[in-house]
Amino acid sequence: MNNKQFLTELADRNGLSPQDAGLKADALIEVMKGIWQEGDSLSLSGFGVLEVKKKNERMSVNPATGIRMLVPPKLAVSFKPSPLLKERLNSMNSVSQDKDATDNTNLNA
Amino acid sequence: MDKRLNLSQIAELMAGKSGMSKANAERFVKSFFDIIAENAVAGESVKIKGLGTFKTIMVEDRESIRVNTGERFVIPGYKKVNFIPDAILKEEINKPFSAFETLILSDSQAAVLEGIEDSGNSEITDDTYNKDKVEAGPEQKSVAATEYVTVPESLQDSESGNDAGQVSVQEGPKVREITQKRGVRIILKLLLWMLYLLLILLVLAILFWPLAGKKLLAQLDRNLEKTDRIQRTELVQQVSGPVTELATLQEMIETESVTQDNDMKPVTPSREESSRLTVPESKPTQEPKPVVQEPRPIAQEPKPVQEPAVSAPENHASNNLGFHLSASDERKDLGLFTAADTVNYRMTGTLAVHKVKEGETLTQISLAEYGTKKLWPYIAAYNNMKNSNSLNAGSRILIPSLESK
Repeated sequence: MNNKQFLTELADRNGLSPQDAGLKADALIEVMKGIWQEGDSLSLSGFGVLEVKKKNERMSVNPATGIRMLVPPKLAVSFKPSPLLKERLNSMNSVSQDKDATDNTNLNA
Repeated sequence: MDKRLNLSQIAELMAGKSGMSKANAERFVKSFFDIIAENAVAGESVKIKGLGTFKTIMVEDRESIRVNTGERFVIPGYKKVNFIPDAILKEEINKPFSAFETLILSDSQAAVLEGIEDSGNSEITDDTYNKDKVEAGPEQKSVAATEYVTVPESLQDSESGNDAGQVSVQEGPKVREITQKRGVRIILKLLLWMLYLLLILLVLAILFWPLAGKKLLAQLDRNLEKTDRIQRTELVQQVSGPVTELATLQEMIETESVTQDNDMKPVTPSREESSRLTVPESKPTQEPKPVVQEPRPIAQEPKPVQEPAVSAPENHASNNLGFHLSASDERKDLGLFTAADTVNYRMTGTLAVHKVKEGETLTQISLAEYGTKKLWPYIAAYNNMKNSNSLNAGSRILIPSLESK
């Protein structure tokens, strides 16, 4: 789903024109950015937490050339899905797999 | 800071920003994230401009080993949602850290860092732990954490079965290594900052190098003049020792005229006295013997000065100030080969018009017109230049003819 499809869907659900929905979505993203820049996080029930995390500096090696680099620390937005969303994700398809897994462990035990 | 904003709080902010009613805003925000969630559940990725992409990823089944019993079991595959921020969003969020750049490490630096990586067994488990943490969702953390302890055991497994004691033995050095790692990290950070400082200093040095270089040269020139003058006055004093005060005064006046034509001074052609005279000029303080004999040569000085400047050019070449000689003889007669501040000049009319070439400086013009760099201030003054550093290529400037005061 690309940005355009997303906006038309959003417009449909809120009874807005797609252009309007685009403007509103931009406003929402601005609001979210403001929240992140203050160091706060977004917590949405049934969806997850969107927060800014500090990633430490690390050394990486370019596998092709073998050149070693020190990657600087950075701030990045990270998404942590809520348990509910995870459950929804895995409720349909992975039931059989879960069963397999439990069977396996039972056998091992 | 560190607040957790929920749906209604976001809606409030949103309402303030977009002018929607709060209820509408809440509905809008809710639907915004609902669409994402629904698509994620359906296995589709959602790309939102200015924010990023939410993607559903399938994680494959994988085998692991139980902590306590050492038996194998399968961690079932599952789906997870990934969020990949937009480039724009990334940049904006990372603004506080945007000054940092990826450094390419030299071998020596890398060796220091390598120490962290090469700390052995427990380090590997640490790595695998991190990897697990990334791959598994937070829900799987407990599983991953148990594995964390398991892995070292599995490594030993091949050699000496499973022994709970060995696990605890391994824990000791691990803690030490972690603290060591922390220390190295602090040192690393310091090193990084020092590197940044060095870089900044380098850039500054490069930026101000031409300026500083010019200043240095100017200072050197001035110093040369000074020492030259000092040497000369010392000479005069030494010379005047045995002579009466009146004679000293006379000589002072004479040597003054000599300094005006300092290139003329060594002219005295093939006379013994002259050779003697030039020696104390270079080492005035170390030559007590010639001092007594000196008065005569000095007294004879004016004579050679009045001689025509036929042999002058040869002497110019050996001139210790190393002046460039391109000016005509009549210009030399002005006595332009002395330091500019020992003699003052009057500007009497225009001597020539000089067209400024690209990249030419006032000192270069002075050198070309007078044969010495030192007279550029007169050119600047004659042309009423306020800023002697800005000279337009192609413009014509007037060269004053100078007459000593």
